[in-house]
Amino acid sequence: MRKIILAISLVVFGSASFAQTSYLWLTKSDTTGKAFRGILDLQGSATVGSSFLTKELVKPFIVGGTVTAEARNSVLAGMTDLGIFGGNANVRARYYGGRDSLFGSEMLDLYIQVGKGYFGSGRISKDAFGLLSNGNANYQGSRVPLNSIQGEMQGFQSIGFGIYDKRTFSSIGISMVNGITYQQFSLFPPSSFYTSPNADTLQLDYSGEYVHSANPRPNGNGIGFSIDGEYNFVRDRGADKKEVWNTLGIRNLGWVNWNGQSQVVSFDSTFTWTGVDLNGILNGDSLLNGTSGFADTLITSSQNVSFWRPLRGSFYVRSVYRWNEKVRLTAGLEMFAAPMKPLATLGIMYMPKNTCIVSMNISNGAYGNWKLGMGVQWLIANQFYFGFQTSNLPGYFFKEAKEMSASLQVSYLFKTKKKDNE
Amino acid sequence: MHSKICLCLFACIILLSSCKKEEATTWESNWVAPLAYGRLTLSDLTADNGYTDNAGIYHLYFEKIISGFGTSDLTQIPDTNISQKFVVPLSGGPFQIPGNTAIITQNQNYSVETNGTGLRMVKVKSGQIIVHVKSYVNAYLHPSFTLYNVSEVYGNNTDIDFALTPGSASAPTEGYYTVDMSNKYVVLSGTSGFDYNKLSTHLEIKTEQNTTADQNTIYGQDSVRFELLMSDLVIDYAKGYFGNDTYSFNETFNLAESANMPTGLLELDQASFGFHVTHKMGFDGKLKIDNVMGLNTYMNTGVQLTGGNLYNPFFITRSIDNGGTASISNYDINLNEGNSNITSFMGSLPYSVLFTGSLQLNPFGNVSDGNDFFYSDQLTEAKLVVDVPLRLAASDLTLRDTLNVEVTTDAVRVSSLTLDIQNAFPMEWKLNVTTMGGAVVATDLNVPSGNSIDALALATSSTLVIPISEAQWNTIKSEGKLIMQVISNTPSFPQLVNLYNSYFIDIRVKAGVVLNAEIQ
Repeated sequence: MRKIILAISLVVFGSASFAQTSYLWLTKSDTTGKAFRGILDLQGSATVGSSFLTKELVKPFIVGGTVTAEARNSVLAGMTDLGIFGGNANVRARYYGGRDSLFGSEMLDLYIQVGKGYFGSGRISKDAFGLLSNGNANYQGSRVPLNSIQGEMQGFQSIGFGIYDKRTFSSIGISMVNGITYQQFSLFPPSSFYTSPNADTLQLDYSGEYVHSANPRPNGNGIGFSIDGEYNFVRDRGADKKEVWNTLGIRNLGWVNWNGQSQVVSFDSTFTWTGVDLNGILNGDSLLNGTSGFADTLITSSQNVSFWRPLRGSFYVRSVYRWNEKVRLTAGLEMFAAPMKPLATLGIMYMPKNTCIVSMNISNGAYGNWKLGMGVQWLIANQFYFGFQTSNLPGYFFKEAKEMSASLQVSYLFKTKKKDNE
Repeated sequence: MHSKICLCLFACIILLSSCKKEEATTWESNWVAPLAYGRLTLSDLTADNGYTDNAGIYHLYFEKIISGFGTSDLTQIPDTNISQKFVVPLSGGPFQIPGNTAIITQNQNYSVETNGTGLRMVKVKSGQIIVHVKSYVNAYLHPSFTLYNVSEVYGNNTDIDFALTPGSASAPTEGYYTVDMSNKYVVLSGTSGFDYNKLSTHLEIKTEQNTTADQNTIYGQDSVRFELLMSDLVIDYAKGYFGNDTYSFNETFNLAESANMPTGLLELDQASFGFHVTHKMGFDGKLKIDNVMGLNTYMNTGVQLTGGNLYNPFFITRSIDNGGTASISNYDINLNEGNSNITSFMGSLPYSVLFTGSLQLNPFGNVSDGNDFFYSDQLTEAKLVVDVPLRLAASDLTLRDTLNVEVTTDAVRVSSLTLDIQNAFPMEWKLNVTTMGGAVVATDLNVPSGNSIDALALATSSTLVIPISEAQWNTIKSEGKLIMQVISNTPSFPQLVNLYNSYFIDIRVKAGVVLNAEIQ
């Protein structure tokens, strides 16, 4: 029974973060590792989040419409300094093998998986966002640094395999990664936009680079690898020996070598605009002549290069503490590469019966700040698993919300070998 | 169970792909940007039609060359075609004529058309004479044609030879010869040496030297036709009698075209008007100015310039040819505040000046005995000069100009214009802005007078803000133009103020711009 609860707890906790593998089928597991003959697990998840962008502001970018001044000003008012935004969309199919043994051990077996994912993130300072969204009218007499502006997007496919422990689902696996697309835009110091006090001079310093792969194509634009792994272990705590399941894991840790068709576009120059000579206007030139001249002065250099870039991987730790038969407490921490922040999570699970879990958690980090997640999982007929999770339930109801996510998971447990060990 | 799996997979797909963008993403941002800047001085405002005197006071200065004194007005040789048939002076026939036998010999003076003048000699700058001969004679002919006194060397001849095979009445044989007339002298005094417009020629037609009599069968009255085509002859120098015709001139020169002429009341001081003739041609003349009228088409008024001896005829005396250089004589009419109404004339703010008059050549007849002359690069010139020192008083002096505002994008809307102005002129300005349709965009925006002391320019600062509504902007954008009206007043009108060249007005125009960004 403890194993079942452990497995369900892991499912809930994992899903609450980034739609991790749901292991509810472990209700059939036991210490012999012979509770099933195989599992087909399908997952899809999508998340968009930010530390400052609200749903009200982002929605027009997704479904179209007008981004209102109210929405922009509300976002600006809520920003502190550096704002982060990002999102990801992933689908994955994994099959856990159900063979009797691997390398002579009945506790080990293989899994295989295929997946596809897109990931994007970026950052921008409050002033830069205010400049781009509202214009320079409020920045007369100041220089707005733009070097905070960075963004990255990557898309990839993967196929791989791994070894897992049937008892604890500790695992280690490697995947070959086919890079689909990679885009990175960065501005460096002294990139800035200056508006003189009486707005008689505008100056744009732009220094940075745009790195991108070739246009997406079926064969991909890069190749690499990624590693996923997890080590699960249990400890008993306190006088009543209540169990605590702990997990150390790495996810999607890898690199892609983008091919020689990739391009690095560099730019570094200054554009100053003071208006046109009044005498020209008196001689019949248009009053608005030259205001669209910036494109003509954009100086860039580009070169085709092959380069390595890391995938957006993470390290994580988590613990699940059995409070009583129906309640579990969870805690975890996941570390990402910049600009994403560490994600800290605290949660509670309620189990009305041993095949159903309703969970709730609060978390802070990753793309955004505070959020309230919920999830539900259900094991049907000891063979079919269904789970739906969201990391921020208010995202579906409030325009001020800064994160929306959904993950859906279905798993099928093939032909169990033995009954529940209850 | 499998159906449940499929149902769930379908749900996954729907969830992950149901976001579809139906319309563009748009947002507005507010920008402020400089549009224009510059320092306007008097030379800018008057399109450089001026100069600064020793006291630093700026003068409006207009100068207009009067056309009508060019060579083509006096004389020219138009394209002319002279055709003449020469007949064999025999009767009957056939005659078998041996080779090298002259059958026609004739001297001929051709009259040259010269637009009514009598020319004795010209030097041609460019052009050509084409000689065309057509033989109806059944014989090998050798016509020789001589243009007397036509050569690059004065007094030499130009000889032209043809060789014609036998022709017939139905199938004449032809020959052409083109004489390049560039830099050639042409004496037009005829064989007598005293005629006008006569080109002397000599024609001799022989049978070809190396032919036999049976090859040349000629009948009496057989003919040979000659044509002389004078084409594109441009005269470089001419001598003769240019007649005593009268040439009229009617000139209008536009003051407002080069310097936007204002309306309103303007008091001026010490303006002057000059009519200057520089005579460099070899004829006498009687020059008479009929009318000098300042026209204000905006006010629909006209003021005639009067005073002095402006409308009295005066005589100009022929130049003397000093071996290729004509002597120069000058004739001037000067009007000023003391002897004319020039100040009130310019004070009427004429948009244009109408100038009419006439020039009669050789009013005393052919007193030079056919020795009038001109060189095409030494022509008589006449010009009008208007000089107005900007010592003035202005009352609602209004300058109106149209600004081009060509906007082809809907992504930009100008929501305001702000003008930062430094004015050193001792004038108060009021600015009105309207659309082409007359809708008021801004009215009575005030720019205070500068604090300048004589030539020391001391400016006052002011800021004018012109809000532009979306409706106004749409109108301006569709019309592509904006009308700006500047009304100026000097203090204590009609007390005069001097406008020094050091005065300026600095203007910086910046625009509030609403940028309508759109992402599809």
